Amino acid sequence: MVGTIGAPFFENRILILDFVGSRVAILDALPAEVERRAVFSPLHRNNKVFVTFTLNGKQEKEMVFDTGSSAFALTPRALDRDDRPPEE
Amino acid sequence: MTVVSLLLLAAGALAGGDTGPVLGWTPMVWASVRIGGRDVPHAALMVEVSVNGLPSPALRHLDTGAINWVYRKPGDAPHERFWRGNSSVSLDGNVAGRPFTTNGSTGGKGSGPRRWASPWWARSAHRFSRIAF
Repeated sequence: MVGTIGAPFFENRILILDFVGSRVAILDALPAEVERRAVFSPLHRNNKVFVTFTLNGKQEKEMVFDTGSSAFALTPRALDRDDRPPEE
Repeated sequence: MTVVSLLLLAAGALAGGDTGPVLGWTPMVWASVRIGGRDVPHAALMVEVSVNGLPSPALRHLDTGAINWVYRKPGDAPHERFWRGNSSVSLDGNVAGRPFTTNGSTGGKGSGPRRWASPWWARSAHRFSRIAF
């Protein structure tokens, strides 16, 4: 048996991905020390998790944050598309 | 709209000098696969989980772009083939100290017919002794 832990598991929780330390933490509240030292970027959820980023200093886009698709590259063609579903 | 908090930490953000509460860290590892003759070293992000009834930890795919899934491999199933989302499939345990229950109802296809699936990251399951449980 194998399985996937998907986005629904993290609803109303805080997910910390530490790629440097190869570790993950899941919290109900953000420790003050972490909040003070981390830099946050806005995100919202509409079936999928979207984060805002800037490309080459000029294009601000919302992209799906998908830890399950790391094998696939971001292409210029994909950048030009906006597949984000309408707000719920 | 449901809000999900996601925090990506820059290198060293949590290293040294921490005076706050100790975080309950759980290991995560990259699973690699070979697809179409090409090695993909960072193919799947796996996180260590504890499954109720099992004595040792297992690995589970951490996929923020997906819903929760459980794949079951019957004893007579072809190589790398799994049943996907069936009500007879359920999994209880915890990850990073947080309990989870995954079954057909959260698999999305629980009431439907059984479907064969071949999750591409599971193709390398045999390479990770702890991924199959």
